[in-house]
Amino acid sequence: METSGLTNEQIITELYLNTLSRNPKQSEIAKVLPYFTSMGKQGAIESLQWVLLNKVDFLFNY
Amino acid sequence: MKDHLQPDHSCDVCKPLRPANSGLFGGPVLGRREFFKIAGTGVAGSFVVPMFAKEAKADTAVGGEIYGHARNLIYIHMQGAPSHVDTFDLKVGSWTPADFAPEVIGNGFLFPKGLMPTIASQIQYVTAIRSVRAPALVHGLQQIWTQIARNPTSLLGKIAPNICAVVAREFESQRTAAQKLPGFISLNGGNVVSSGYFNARYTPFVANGSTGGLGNLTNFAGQTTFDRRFQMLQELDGENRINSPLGDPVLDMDSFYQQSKGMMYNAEIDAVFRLAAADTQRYGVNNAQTGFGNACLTARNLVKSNLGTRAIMISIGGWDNHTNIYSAAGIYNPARQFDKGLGELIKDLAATPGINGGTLLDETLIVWMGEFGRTVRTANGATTAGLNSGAGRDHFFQQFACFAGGGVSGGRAIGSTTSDGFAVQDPGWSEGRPVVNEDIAATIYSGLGIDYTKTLHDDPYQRGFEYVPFASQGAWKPVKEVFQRSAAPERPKLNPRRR
Repeated sequence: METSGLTNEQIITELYLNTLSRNPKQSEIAKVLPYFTSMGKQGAIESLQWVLLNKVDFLFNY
Repeated sequence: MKDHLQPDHSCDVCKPLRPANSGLFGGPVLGRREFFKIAGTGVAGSFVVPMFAKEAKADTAVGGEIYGHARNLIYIHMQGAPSHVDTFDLKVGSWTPADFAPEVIGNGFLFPKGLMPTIASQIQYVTAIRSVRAPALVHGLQQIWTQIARNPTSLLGKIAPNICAVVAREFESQRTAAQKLPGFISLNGGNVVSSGYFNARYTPFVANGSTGGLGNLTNFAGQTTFDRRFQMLQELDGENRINSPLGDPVLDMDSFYQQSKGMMYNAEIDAVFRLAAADTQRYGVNNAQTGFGNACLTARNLVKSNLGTRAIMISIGGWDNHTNIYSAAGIYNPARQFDKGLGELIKDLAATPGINGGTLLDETLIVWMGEFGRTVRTANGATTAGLNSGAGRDHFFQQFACFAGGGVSGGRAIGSTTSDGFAVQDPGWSEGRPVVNEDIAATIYSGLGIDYTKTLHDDPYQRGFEYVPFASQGAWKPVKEVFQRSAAPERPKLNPRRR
């Protein structure tokens, strides 16, 4: 995913769709994007996946 | 059902499930689980509506007597039921091994000094109630009864929190931001009652210190990455976790996350659970560490650290001595561990300054008891007087409960039993009847400055959760003699016919 050529927004959308079966809200994309700067691309992808798996949506709704 | 499927219909059942006028979590308006939840309301609607309508009602109390102001509780559960006549209500007979070395110590306290020499050396802090009677002789039932102070098969018994969880909740408002440890910790645990219907933050943190410290306080990704990840989770999931529309299960889970996070990468907390080898040997038997010794040592570190833990439950098994009670594998094994662990704990706490001027022992109420006692009379086929045919002792109603530290007036016994330890002779306290588990709980609460007559009205059955059942009506009382050397002037004798 890191080398797929997708934009950061597209990566976020993919992870949301894969994990929660829904598109991220604009506000959610805005919250995640800064982490691509602070943690680097790979770090942000890994962390977002961890967060999505620990989100209440995933733990309680699916 | 048709109405519920309309996204914008007005309905008390669906409304809480659809926060902010959108589908749950921004997903489909009616998910699979919600569909079945709502579909089930046709038959189960009476459950769902009160759940969402639950309103907070103020606590009630009638003002129970307060006899102490200890800050911490250490409650030691002697599982398997120790023989009272071989320990804290010693009866000397032809069966008594010579190395028990019975001696009257303290203020008329007959004690097996040879079996438990370390506790004997600290007897000035210890008071034993000898007039305690157990209501049932079933391990599983009675181990729970001693922890919740009510019949476990009653309706509230099934959702009742541990006494330690009640203490943790009572003291939670005193927590400072720097205090990151859970209020209730269980050490060396076995059959420990949890927090019942309380929020999960009062669930016992089950841990045990060791020379290697506590595992799982670090994350494989490293502290910096983990902190950022956790921050991202707060930002993306805050709306679901804070004042969650999904209620208690989610709030409970978030409590776990926050508590766990607070404990990670914390040098002070690491130090509490990382035991010095020399200490583990001193608290152990024959210079070898024991699980119970390490638990007592961890308890010492916990109260010393003042990091938020106020109620500690320690378990020690091995007392169910049906056969060969006077062999090494019988009572000696648990008694030696118990003696060293508890004796050294009392010694250390008595030598450590507390935060309010006195010693840590002054601020810490230590309580120990089993779920019941053991038989005292010679059984059919027995070859040793006082024992059963297997040279052991079976389950019995008579038992003891001991208190030390926190305002306890030590060095003596309260109440007495008949010469063979079979029944209560003198209750030895102001109520003039045998002491039961509910009285012990009232005594614990009273010694911690907690109103034992309090009733909470937030239980899911909406019956009211009484700290001690019927205490508001005076049914059960704290044994004030534990804290006061000069007891009530008259000491009514138990009516022998009702023994």
